[in-house]
Amino acid sequence: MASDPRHPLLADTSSLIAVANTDQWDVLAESVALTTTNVCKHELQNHVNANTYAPEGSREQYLKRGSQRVLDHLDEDSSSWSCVTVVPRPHGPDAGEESLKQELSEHGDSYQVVSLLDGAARRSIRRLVDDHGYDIDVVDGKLHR
Amino acid sequence: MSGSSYDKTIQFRAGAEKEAAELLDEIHIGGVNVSELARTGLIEMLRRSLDEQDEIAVYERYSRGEIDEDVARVLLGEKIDQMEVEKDAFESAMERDTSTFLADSDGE
Repeated sequence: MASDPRHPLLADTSSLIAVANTDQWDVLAESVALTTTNVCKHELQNHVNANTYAPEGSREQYLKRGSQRVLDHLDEDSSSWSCVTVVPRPHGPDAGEESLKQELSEHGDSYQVVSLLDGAARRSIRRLVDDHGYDIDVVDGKLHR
Repeated sequence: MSGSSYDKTIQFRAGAEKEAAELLDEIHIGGVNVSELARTGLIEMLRRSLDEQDEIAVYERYSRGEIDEDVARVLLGEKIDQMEVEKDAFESAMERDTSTFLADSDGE
């Protein structure tokens, strides 16, 4: 796992869940190659483990189902999705976003597109990309539809 | 910028609200500019009434040139600039060699 490859597309927890909840999930999972971080993976695991009642159509169910799909796919041996380990590991509510920033600070040249759902996080990462002079587009994960 | 000037009026029914405005105009030192208050208040309430879908619809009409920028700015405010950035980022990403994002092309 430590030697997972870095694909040019880096995605955060929320955008992975959004992709996993689209009609084209099966196609996207098989055809797209992307990378996420161990912190985002941990956030997905937390959604799956969340001990909350998740009725059909609820946000809880959306998070749970999406996270489970992404985790299953990440753990498949033949998967073209990879997970990189970020050290030191950030904590707190913005840990996922922070992990992307850390990864980009160290390996920004490996990426071309970063996908995040949160607008404030996108603006913050755009500043980081500009400061480092990277050639990376920071996009809204929802627009992948 | 379009030529939307301030020569258009909005009329709406008011009872106690009109009396309250007139009362404040009378007792407040220097009076109050009810038109200015109404414009500011209307902008605020219009923005509050806008949901995410509405924002996208307004932005799309604006980017197709169907509505003027000052009208779009009344509804979207600074978001219009943020939406511009998002659109540019997405278009820029689409212009890349998308085959590099596909599983098969993962040669190096």
